[in-house]
Amino acid sequence: MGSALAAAVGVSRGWGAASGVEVAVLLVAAFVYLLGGSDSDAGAVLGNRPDERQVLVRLKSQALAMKVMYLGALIGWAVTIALKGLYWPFDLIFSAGGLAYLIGLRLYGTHDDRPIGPIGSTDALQDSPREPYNSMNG
Amino acid sequence: MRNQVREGRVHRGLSQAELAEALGVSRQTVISIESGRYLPSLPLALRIGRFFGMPVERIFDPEEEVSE
Repeated sequence: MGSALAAAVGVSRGWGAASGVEVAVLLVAAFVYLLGGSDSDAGAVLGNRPDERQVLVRLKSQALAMKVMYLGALIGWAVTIALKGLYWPFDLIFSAGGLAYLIGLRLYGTHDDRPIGPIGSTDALQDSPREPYNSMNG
Repeated sequence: MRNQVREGRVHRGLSQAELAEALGVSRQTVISIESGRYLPSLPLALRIGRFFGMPVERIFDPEEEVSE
């Protein structure tokens, strides 16, 4: 991905700039590789070996990064509008982010769309009528 | 939530790293559990109980406020 970015920079701004981007990408990759081997939460996450708690750490970090990026996009959007520039890329970011959020709620949420009826009613997915809970029934 | 993980580990002469390896988690997670900053999942809590040979409810003690 970093090399693709460098190629894009090379096409638009010349191969001198692309070389700088490629060097930066390689330095970041080396840093991530070295950090990934360390005995730390960051090392476990970057080294793709998180335990259950580190998965939560990763999720919280990702959420924080997304929020900051969204805020940055909002600022960029406002500045671009004020300067009468093309702001459609920011519209795309907000639309994609909002849609992804809704999809995430649907994917990761629990869904029970059946209407909950009174005791004795029949659930849509069950054949037998619902009975009140009684510990003696087992 | 208070817990007896550190006491159990020290009683058995284990380091945090050794306990972490036995439980299949990282050393940082053992540190977080012992300090009460992280509540383990049910499967991990059960593994801890099995490792120490004690019921989970004897290891993890929810702090309850009792008003009289």
